[in-house]
Amino acid sequence: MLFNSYEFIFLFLPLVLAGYAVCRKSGCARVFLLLVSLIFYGWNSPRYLPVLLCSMAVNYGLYWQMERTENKKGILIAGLSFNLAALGCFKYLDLGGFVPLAVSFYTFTQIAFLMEGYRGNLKNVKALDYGVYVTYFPKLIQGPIALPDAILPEVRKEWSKAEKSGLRDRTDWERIYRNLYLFLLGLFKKVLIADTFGQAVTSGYSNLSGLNSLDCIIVMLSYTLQLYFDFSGYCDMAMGVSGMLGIELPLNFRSPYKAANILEFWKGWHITLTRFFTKYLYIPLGGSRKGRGRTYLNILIVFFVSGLWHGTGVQFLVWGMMHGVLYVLTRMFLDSKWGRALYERRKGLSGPVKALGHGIGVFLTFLYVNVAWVFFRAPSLGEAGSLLRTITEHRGGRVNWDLAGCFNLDEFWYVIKVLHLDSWQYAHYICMVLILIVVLLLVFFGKNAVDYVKTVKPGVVHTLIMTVLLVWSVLSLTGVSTFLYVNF
Amino acid sequence: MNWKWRRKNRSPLCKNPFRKAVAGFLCLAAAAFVIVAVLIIYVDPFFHYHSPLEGFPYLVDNQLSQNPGMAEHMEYDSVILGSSMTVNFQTTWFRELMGLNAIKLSYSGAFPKDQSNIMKIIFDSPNNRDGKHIKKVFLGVDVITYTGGVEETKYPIPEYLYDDNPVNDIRYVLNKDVLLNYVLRPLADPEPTDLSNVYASWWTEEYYSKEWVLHNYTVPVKVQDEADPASYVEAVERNLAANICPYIEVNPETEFVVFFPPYSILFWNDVQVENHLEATIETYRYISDRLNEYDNVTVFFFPDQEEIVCDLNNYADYSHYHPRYNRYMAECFADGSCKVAKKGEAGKTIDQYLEHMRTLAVTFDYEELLEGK
Repeated sequence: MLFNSYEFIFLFLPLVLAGYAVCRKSGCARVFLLLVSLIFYGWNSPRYLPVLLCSMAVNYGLYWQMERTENKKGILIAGLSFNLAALGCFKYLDLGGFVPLAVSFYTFTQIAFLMEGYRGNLKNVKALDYGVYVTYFPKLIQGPIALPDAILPEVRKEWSKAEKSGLRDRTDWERIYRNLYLFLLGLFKKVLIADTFGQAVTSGYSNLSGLNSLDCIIVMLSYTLQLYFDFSGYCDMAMGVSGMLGIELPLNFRSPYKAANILEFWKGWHITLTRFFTKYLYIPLGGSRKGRGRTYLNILIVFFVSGLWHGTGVQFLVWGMMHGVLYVLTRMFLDSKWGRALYERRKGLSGPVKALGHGIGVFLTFLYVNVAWVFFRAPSLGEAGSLLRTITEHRGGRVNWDLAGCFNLDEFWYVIKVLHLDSWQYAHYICMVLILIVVLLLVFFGKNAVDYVKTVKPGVVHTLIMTVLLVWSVLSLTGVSTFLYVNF
Repeated sequence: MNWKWRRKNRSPLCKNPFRKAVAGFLCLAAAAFVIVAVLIIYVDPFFHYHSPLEGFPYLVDNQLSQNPGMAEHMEYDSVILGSSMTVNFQTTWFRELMGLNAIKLSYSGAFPKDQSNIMKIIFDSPNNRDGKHIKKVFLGVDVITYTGGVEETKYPIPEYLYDDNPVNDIRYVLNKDVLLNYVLRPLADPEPTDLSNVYASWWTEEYYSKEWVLHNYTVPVKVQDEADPASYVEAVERNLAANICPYIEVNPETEFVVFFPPYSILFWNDVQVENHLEATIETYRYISDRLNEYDNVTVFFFPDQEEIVCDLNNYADYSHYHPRYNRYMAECFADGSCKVAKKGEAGKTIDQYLEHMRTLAVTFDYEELLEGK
């Protein structure tokens, strides 16, 4: 089931919230969560459910064994081999299109569990808790990848008597309100913003040869924005839904495009994946403890594996390595004496000079990330190259009619009509320009949705905003695309 | 318990601004959804719940979404079905020539399954109940589409408008496109569709020219091995048995007028370059013979009309003819010209039509036609 669907919004979510409140009172909250999570997972494609259940049974069996044996390492190796082999088979072998939903995400969730079990950080985790840890529906399909230390205490926590008795507390309503708001912002980000850019991206990539330089820049930029609003919108919804249930999920995006260098970018983009790789790949490889050269190599390995995890084409490796190489170069620079000197000098700066330096950093990082995303999206290396070549060739002309048309949402037709702009020769491009400007301003200057909802004071204005967000999004649901990250 | 007492002793929860905000939001959102749904159900631009409102300037331009509702809730006694080959029929001609109250329910590129989907709704509609029955179904047959899968539709259909499940109607009643483009836009900018000429093609007169057709025509890749003449028959047989014949059989009072439209001679050039002339001709023969077996079927054959098909000025592309030939075909339906004789009946047989078609296809001078290309 998708969050952005009628059945989730009108049926699943209200029933789960109500059911959970009841089950919390009667002490069967975890059973309830496990059940509804499996329903959520199997809703559209029940055929993937047995694969998930088998994978969970094997992993929990291994954990169980691990708790009872001295040879923990052997079991860990068996577990890692099993999980990675299964993931590899589903993703890289052609099984007639059979790729279980969210296989990458639940595989990593379970690897994290085995690693923590091996390290002795988990004690006596019951099968039910394990089941909820893996399948908990708000994060099951696309993350955030909640590591055991983040989610297990939340799942296993005992409710106080007051909490058990339902929504008696002012803080309970505040929690519901803020998380509902977060869910609505995420829904809007996905359905209205990401999917609008998504149409432009699909239109552009289906007609690469007919595009000029400006078109290609718009297509590249559109994908950068689509991916961010799609994925972060999904995570906002996940956090919102989970928050309404009283379980906090880790933050996955912290305004990544505001980053002034690539290191900062990765502190804000898909944070839980980076945390996973840091804990279970980078640090076991030696992290930064074995000298600079080894550190840089470890970073490159992490980005290589990340590229591999994201997709099956060579272009994903190119994307991973583009980030890896710049990351290492930036680290090298910051580790050097010039870098340190510059850093010290920057600290002493203030006012417009500092702002200008920061602005240039943000612009260059954003530009680089944009180019890297081209490899992430293009169907092949050739097409990625063709798009980037067209940008550098300075091929002129007006923006492609169909491409601009993707931004002309029906609701804006009325505004243009009322303002009598429809006969203006550039009328077709108004929406595109305005949407791009507003969304870029949001990206660079707007507050992160998660931070924003924390500051909201309940009142008429916000109630109206929430209503508009929900109604506009729900009315736009039919015909919306599926999530980009579902296949990763 | 008096009111003042109660007010004083209200629990602190009632004053909780967050609770009030959540409740306010839920009420507002519910009200908004109800208003939208009621408006869409009242106007019902896809005619899913009722017949059109008197005087509302309905916009009808979406075959997949609006045909099922029109079939279910409009009044008619005859139907025009088929692909884009049928969009330029005007239903007023059918009244003028045959006294029929016809409705046009074309689907661009329709596959047999598309015809079956809409025929199911037509024959279950009030127009075929309570003593009423559909008088005639005019069915345009594009042979190539009958060689595909039995369950295949040309485009994914919006199931929620085709089934009887009221729950999935939410996709219709809470749908921005429906609200903005089919309810509010017609009100703001009324241009009601003339149902007689609904779905008519956009080509204006100047597009019907040899130059335009040749400009857009590409000769297909040559195929060396000739297709087995019987190669299509099996799929065609399955398609007829599953999607067409059942409706003919259970509706003996309805006359099915089946016709093969006249594609331009370039269609036959393609057929020969792709090396499946005999297989195509066999397909025509099979469909004609199979359907002509029924007493309530009449078959018309137009592909060999030389004066139409050999002159590309009658076409906007290699298969789409000028609307005047829709008029011509309607006249033939009325007077019986171009009819295919049933077995034992006097008149031109399908074999004779096909022999003429083959001769025309084989002897036509394509080189001269394509010279200027």
